[in-house]
Amino acid sequence: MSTGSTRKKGVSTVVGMTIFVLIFALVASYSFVWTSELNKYVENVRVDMREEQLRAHEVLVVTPINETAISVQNPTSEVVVVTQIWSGHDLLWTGQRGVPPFSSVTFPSFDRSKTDGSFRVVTLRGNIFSGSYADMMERIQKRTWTVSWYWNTTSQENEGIPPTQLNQSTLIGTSYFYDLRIDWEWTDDAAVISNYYYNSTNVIGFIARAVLVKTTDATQDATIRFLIDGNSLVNFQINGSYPAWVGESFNDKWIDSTKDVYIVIPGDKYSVHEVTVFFKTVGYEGPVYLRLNIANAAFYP
Amino acid sequence: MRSIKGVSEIIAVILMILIVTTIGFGVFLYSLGYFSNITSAYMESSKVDSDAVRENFVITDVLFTVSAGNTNVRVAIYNYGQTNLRIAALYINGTALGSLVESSIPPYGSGFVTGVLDREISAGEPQLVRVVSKLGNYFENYYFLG
Repeated sequence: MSTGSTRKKGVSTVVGMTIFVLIFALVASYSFVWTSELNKYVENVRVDMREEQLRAHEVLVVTPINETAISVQNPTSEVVVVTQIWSGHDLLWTGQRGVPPFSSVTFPSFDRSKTDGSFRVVTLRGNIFSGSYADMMERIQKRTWTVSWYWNTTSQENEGIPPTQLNQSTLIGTSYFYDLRIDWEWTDDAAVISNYYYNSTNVIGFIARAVLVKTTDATQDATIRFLIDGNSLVNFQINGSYPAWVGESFNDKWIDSTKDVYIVIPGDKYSVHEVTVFFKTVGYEGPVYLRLNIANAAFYP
Repeated sequence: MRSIKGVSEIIAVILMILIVTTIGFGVFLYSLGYFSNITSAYMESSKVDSDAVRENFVITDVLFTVSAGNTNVRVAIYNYGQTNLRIAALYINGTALGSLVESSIPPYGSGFVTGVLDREISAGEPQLVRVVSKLGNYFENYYFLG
């Protein structure tokens, strides 16, 4: 009996062991496959995170040069690849062009009929950067004095003509004063004095406009004071009307350098006022200047 | 009696071996099938997850065209992922668009998805556009008519 029992125990152990080993081997081999798949997934996540990190570091400054060309500047230390350029709903350009670190690349001459002055640049990593020519011009014009220059002959431009009619003279061009406190001057030997606009038979002048915001409350007025040379004349408008001068009333008359007057601009804090400066001078010897001091106001942002 | 007892013992052992082997082999085959199915399902799921991780896209432009009570929507998509992008659905403010025309967009390629919204949208009103891929990723942002 004992011999038979021992033989049976041995058989079942071998069979049981074989089955166990087979199943264990099966589980072990599949676990390798599972681990491998998990590793692949983790690797893909790592790659994606790295890509996202690079993507997050991408910066491009899109500056329209005009309505059909843009400059793309890369202020980062990594190359950024541009792959698409859109304007409005039109795809203007597609391809791949790298913008080197701390450099800029120009994309010139898009089809004028497809551009609307605003541009969107798509990078290879999926970022979108934009820039607008209209916004840029608006930004330039904000926080500045927009200055239109005019000239006329003295026979047509006499002192009896009100300041607002200066713009009926011939327009020379437009420029900007970037400082709220105008300190403009033509010296005796300024180049413009020698050209034909500026001589004893011509009048030259400008109209400067800016939008200002009052920085003090209603108890304290904003003020505008000026200094001009002896050959020049000036006047102002606030919100399209001649202002209340302190010291004298002028309305639509030109004011010369002998007047010791200034303007007050009443209003609540942060009230917005459009200020227009009219200035003209007749070509004589000596420096021409306008010095303007504005207190309790700033450029409208 | 002794010889009969011996025969039945041998038969019993053989029967026991047969039964154990059969059951054991059955368990093994069942395990083989089970693990095989589990593994293939896991691999499939893992591949989908991996592809979903590698899939990235962005909307580069949305054009709304209003006509006769409907709004035609054209969405430009740029695929900056590593896999082919297939679009499953397009939503405007949570409404799925009908007549969706989709295409497969290769990696670093771009394409359009168009659909029709059965109402007119008004200018100045921001529209939340959501593009959903077959792998379940989505990109959404607000866009205006015009």
